Amino acid sequence: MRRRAPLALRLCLGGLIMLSGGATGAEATAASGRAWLEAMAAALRANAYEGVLSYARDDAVTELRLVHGHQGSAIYERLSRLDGAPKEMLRRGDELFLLGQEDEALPPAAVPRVQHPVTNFGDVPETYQVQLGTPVRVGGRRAQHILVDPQDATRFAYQLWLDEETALPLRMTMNYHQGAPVEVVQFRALAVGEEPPEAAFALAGQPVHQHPVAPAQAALAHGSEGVALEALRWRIAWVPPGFQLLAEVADQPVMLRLGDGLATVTVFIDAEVEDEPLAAQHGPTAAVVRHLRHCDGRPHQVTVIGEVPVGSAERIAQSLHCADPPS
Amino acid sequence: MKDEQQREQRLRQALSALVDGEAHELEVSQVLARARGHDDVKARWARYQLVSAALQAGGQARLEQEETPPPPAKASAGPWSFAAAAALTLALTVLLRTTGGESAVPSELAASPATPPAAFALAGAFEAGFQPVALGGRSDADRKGASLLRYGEASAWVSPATVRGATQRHLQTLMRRHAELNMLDSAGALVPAVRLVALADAP
Repeated sequence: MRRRAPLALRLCLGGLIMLSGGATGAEATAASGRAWLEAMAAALRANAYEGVLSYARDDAVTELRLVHGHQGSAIYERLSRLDGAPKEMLRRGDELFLLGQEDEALPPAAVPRVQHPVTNFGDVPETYQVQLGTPVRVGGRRAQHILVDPQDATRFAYQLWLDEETALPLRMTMNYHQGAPVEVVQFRALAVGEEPPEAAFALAGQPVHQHPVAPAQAALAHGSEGVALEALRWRIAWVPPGFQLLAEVADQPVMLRLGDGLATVTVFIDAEVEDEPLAAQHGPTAAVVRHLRHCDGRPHQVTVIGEVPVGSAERIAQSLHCADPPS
Repeated sequence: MKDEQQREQRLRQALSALVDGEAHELEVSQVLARARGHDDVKARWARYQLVSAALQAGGQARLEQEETPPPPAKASAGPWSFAAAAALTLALTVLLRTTGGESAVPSELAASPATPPAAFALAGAFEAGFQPVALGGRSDADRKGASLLRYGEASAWVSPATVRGATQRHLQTLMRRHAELNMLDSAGALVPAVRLVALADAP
């Protein structure tokens, strides 16, 4: 049997071929970095694996267990919280169950009809610069460090450490631009290769939420500043570079989804003002509440929530305005 | 008994060195390992941090004005950088909450989207047995903005602990909806699912 070259070597060879084809070193590095990220996205889908991971953000560290496998061609996955009250996500092909979460379900109108890219490292937008870092050891494994940099402070940067053999992510962080991490996901144990038994994905008890998984939509075409809403009499004058309108839901509260393929922001516009204005950053997630007047002069509560620095969430909230201001 | 007292003494010294940033990397991991499962050690750890942060607070503001911005995060930093960052973050958070959370934050900090809030809490790390990781890069602005909420305009900042009742529940519901939408939109990406499952339920 012919032995395949390790993934790291194959991706490096790809970079060398680009160099010989006239690409600059930086271009080859970026291409190689993007190739690593594509390999990671494919590895996360195609492999069977089981592991324990830590999730850290500003006020807590949470341990979770992940079991990922397949039944036929369908992806089956169970993600369980090991700390505090039990909570699980169970994915069985096109069905998705949430267990142990007692709050209200999403309004039916808000459930996506098509999937939009979120945290999609398989297709990193051009508004981010991808760079290869230095190979290091993570958890006793050799890992390739990849940096995904927005090159401005309105969005977060990402760093990933991918296993050299499998391209699975051993560690992922979300960071301030040229700064500290706001979120860390790291595997503490990871076993790859053996398909879990069907019983690992059994549905025990009554799920609190159940959602069909919508079909995927093609990648975003990346625009510039501002987004045009189609159905609602609101306008957003500023969004971070590369952000686009993903969805708008006219039900109360009105809901807008904005994103660039990696980060997303949800804007809730409520005709009833419930909360005082505030701005908060909870780990990677910013939350901003502002009171704005619509075209008829009535005050509305605008709540912007998303994985962006709080200044960006605030700027989005403040740029929201009536489509037809009174003359 | 004598052995026990000596161990206590060594642990006290190690904790003190850890807070002061003088501990060796190996020493840090030993302290963290010993502290796991010992409430008294955790409590002492928290006290040390509080005292250390209070002692440093006076001179810190001057230093922050003089220091140049930090270099980008380095992946090669040792575990100490994570432990130290976590320690200082927790200490600042505790201080802010203890003193009612009022903090004079310059308006340019409030206006800049680059101002980072807190990183991690070591108390949680003890409970979860989290291994410190090498993440490096941390700015003074991180510390200034640690876990702060801002009400209204740029002048008034309060700690998250002061957001209570209906507002807290409403915000958590909206954050959960956002996280759930991200997971449904994500085509099976790992991080949105991790965020949703890890997110604490409303009190």
